[in-house]
Amino acid sequence: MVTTDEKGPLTAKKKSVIIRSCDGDEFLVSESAAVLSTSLKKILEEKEDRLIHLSDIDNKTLAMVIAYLSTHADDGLSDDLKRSFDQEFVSGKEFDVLKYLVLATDTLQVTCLCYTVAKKMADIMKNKLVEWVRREFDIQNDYTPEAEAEIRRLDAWAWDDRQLEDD
Amino acid sequence: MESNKKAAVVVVQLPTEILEEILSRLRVKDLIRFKSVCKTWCQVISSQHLIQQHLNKSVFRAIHYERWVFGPCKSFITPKEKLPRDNLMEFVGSCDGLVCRYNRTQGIIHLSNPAINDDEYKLIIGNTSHMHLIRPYIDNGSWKSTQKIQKTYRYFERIGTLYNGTVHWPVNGSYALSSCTILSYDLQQETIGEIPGPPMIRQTHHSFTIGEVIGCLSAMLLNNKFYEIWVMKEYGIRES
Repeated sequence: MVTTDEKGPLTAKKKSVIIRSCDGDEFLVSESAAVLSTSLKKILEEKEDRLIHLSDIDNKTLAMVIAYLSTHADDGLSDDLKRSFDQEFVSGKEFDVLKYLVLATDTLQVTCLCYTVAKKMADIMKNKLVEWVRREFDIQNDYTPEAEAEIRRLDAWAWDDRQLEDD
Repeated sequence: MESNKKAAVVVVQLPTEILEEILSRLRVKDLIRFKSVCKTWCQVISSQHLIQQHLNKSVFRAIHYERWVFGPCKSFITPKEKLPRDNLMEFVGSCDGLVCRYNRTQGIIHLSNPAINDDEYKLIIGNTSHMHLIRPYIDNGSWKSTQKIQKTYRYFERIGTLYNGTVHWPVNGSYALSSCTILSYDLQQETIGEIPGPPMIRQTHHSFTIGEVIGCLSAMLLNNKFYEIWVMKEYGIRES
């Protein structure tokens, strides 16, 4: 997916950037969208080259972030429309996808997208089993069985198994 | 799918800041359960920083830091001790998930935080002549500091209102309502002060309470017919 955002011949001439994902796909982005990311803004201020290579963001995730940035750079859209875009943007996405998205917002320093995604992830994590969390976050349990039993015993009230979900 | 797998090799764990962003949006019950995910999560969840972040996002923020007990106190039960079953405890107040209860007949104060232990709380206990400050989690039941109150006051309310790091009680210097003032206790400086009450207080008023309205210290007066609310726009200045 390639996003172009041309506002006229004058701005288009110098104001666009090419961003390359870790798997080699290239995206053409308007500079006004790119600078909404604090790290891209810094890179653009420092170097003349209009090609940015991101070594830890894959094409799928990058395409999503760019769609987000382009929408938020559009002055023609009202704040309300942008807000409902944000809701649409995260709804229905799998947890795994959100995890890579939130990591990309960290790398690219896009604070408002980070908050939106973090909120969505927290909503999904509600009532989930600890085992589910370990699986989704790829976390190794480093407690001994005794230590884990003890920690669960201390806060027994939070463990109402009837409500907890594993998917 | 393919590309996600590739990225998983590069990034194994979420950075702590990102983890905090997610965790601070969870409900307390989920947070407590997730302490057993792994040691790192337990550390992050129990950290002062996350507690503060969580509170900042919480809807219930009417009371900011602490609340107070006022009454005779003989002993103090530290938060980790279990309460005897037959004790009838009176609910005094709560803030930031900390619950304070008080037993009138035995003079026991009990503090508990059902969720996360936190040693930053301060408790003020006082009578007509002195105020004692305790940090329940640190001082193990002994007074940290004691301040003498210069004048004798009559208290309108047992429980003070916290505003701007200082606890306030509506008090009366004599028995005339016109001499109503606000007694204050600065938690940082550990000093007692007095600020003037609302200017229009009269004999017809028979109740004087204080609270926080739109971020300002305010006083509510009640007479036979209606309530009057005074908002002190500039702290400590009567006319504002």
